Amino acid sequence: MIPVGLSRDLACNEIAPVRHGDDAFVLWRDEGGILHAFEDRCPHRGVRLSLGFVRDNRLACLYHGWQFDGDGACRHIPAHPALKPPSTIRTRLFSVIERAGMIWLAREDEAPPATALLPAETRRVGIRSLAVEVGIATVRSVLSCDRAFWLERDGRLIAFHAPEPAISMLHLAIAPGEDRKEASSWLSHLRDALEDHASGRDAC
Amino acid sequence: MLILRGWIVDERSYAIRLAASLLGIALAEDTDRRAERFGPVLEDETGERAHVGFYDCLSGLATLPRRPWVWPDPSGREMLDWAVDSLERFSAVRRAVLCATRPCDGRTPEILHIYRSLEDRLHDRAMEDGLWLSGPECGFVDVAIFPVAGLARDLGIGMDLYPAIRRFDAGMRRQAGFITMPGIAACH
Ligand code: FES
Repeated sequence: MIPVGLSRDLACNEIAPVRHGDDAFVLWRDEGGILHAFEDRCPHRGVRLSLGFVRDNRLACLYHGWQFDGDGACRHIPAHPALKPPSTIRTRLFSVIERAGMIWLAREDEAPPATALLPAETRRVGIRSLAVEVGIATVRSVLSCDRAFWLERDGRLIAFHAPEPAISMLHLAIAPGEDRKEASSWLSHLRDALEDHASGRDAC
Repeated sequence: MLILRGWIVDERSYAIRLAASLLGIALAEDTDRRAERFGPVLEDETGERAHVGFYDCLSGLATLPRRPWVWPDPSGREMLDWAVDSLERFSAVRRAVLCATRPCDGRTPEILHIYRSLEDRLHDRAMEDGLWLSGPECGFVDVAIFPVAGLARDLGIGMDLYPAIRRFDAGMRRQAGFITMPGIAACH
């Protein structure tokens, strides 16, 4: 599974876009706090669902307002309010879980989701997700990370994914008692170090 | 009543309309395409006093009596100057991108620097459990920088890279008195 953000960055009734490799997803949290992940593409005319909004506990597309429930099924078409949308109208759904303060998303080739490969279920506080202008291979190499998308160091969980070939997104979560500001500033320094390394200035 | 001479797709004209709306100030609006290049003009009803350009219009709103937002003191002025300067730069690049006859990448190093700086500043506020750059409440700095957040898509900037800006954008849209412009939809 891929770490795609911090739990604290997505409140109830909010939406967030996510990209990883060539895939685009939309995450949204319903009013009960449950997280959902869909393909970021409306089955009607292909508009990005991440431009939409949550209405009546469903994800609504910005273009014509079709509404999708947590199972990805279309439940309402504003232009035809009396119509019960056919069950064939649905978005593509992805497995998503929250663990250690972060949101983990399974791409479809990973069914059932490989939760055994995730960090242990310990309580952590998400500090920051931060874009870094280096490819994910550089992140792995500089951090000496032999796992796919995360590592633990000094009690901190550092995870990353690849929204663009030359941009990585770092995510940091720490133990509840640790100093948040100090951890945040450590992550900013890591960004500088990674970018210096990639540009040949090598501060790592 | 104050008169705003602005242009509907100009971000700076929008920021003035937004500030006025959030502050509960009634504005008469007059379309003037010159605002697209030079920014809006705010006049009093007699036409005798005019604030020309974005910064002046914003400071003009601050001089009106009994308004809850305070104009930043010298220690907060750096933040306001940065916000105004960033919006002016964003506006120039967005205008060039939207008027281009061929596909044109708006993600210039200068623009990416603005987004990084905004993200960092908003994250620093979040570390102190704050959402706004102006202080505990929304204010002039927030309104000045908001179009940069709300219109990011026009320059091909993905909000997946900027979670703090996304939170800020959502927070502004929840404000009583929030208004829209072409490119900033209401239903969020
Ligand atoms: S494109 Fe989404 S409802 Fe039409």
